[in-house]
Amino acid sequence: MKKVLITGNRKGIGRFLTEKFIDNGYFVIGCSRQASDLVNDNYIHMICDVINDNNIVELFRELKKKDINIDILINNAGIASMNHFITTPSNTSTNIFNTNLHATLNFSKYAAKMMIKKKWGRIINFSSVAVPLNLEGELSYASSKAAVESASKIMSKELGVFGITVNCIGPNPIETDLIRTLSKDKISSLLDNQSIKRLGEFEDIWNVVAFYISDSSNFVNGQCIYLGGIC
Amino acid sequence: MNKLELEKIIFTILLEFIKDNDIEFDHELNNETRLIGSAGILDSMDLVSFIVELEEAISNAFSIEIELANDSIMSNRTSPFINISTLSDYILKINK
Repeated sequence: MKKVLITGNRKGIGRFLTEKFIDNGYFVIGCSRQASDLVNDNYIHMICDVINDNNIVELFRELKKKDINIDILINNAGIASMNHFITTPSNTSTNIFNTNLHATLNFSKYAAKMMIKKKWGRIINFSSVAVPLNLEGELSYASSKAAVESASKIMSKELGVFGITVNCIGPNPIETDLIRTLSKDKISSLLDNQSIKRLGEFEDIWNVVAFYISDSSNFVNGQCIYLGGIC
Repeated sequence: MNKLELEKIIFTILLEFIKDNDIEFDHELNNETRLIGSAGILDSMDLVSFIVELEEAISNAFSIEIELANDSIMSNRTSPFINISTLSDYILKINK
C-alpha cells in the first residue's frame, strides 16, 4: 500500500485529496497545526506547523519510528494575502514565503530522502494561475508560487535520476478559504482570464493529481498544469 | 559514538555502495581515500544517495538523527566529504 503525505489537509483541497487517496487504497499521513476529525484505519494525523523546521524534523522522525516511508508527497499547505504591495506588511510576505516556498522545500527534502532509497517517488507542489496571470494585488502570493514552480523544475532535474518526479498544479479560483474574501466582481474578472469560465472544483485537482502519481506518468517531470484553460 | 566506530560504519556503507552501484574502484580503501572531486569515488549524484544511506546507518547504529547537509559539500578544499577521516570528524562535530 503506497503512503501519501499531505500537508495542510485539515480542510479544503487537502481534506478532499486525503479522502480521495484513502478511497483509492492509499495510506495517508496528514498534517496541520490543529487536530483533524478524520478517522480511518488508513489515516494518521500529525500536528505540525509547516513553517517550523523543528516540527518538520520531528514529523519525519516519527514516521521513521513507525517505519513509514513516504511514496507520494503533496505539498498542499499554502496561504495567500490580497493587498497592494505598498501596503503589505513585511512579515506578511515573510509568512507567505515561509509557508508556500520554504515548507515545500523542507518537506520535499525529507520525503525525497525516503524516496531515493526506493528509487520511486512522486512530489506534487501547488502553484497558482496567479503566476502566469501576474495578478495585481497578489504580489507576495504569486511570487512565492512562482518560486515554487522554479524550485519544482530544479528539483525535477535533481531527483529525476532517482525515479522521483516533481510536478506542479496551478489551480484557478476554487471555492476555498483562500478566495472567500474576494468580491464577486473580482472573481468574475479572474474567470474572464480563463478559456473555460467557471470556478474550479476539487475533482479537477484530483484529476491532475491522479495523472501525476500514475506509474504511467514516470516520463512526466518538471511540469505545471494550470486549470481553467490558462495559458 | 567515537571516531573509530564511525569510520567503521562509513567503511561498511561505502563498500556496499561501491558494490551495489558498480562503481569502478580497484585501489585499497583507507581513511585517506578521496571520496569526491576529480579523483574521488563518488560523483555528485552518488554522493546524494550515499548521504541518505549513511544517515540511516548512523541512525540505526546510534539511535540519533543527523543531517549531513553542508553548504560546502562539493568544495575540493573545505568539504567534509573529502575522505573518510574528514567525514567522521565532521559527523562528530555536528553531533556535539
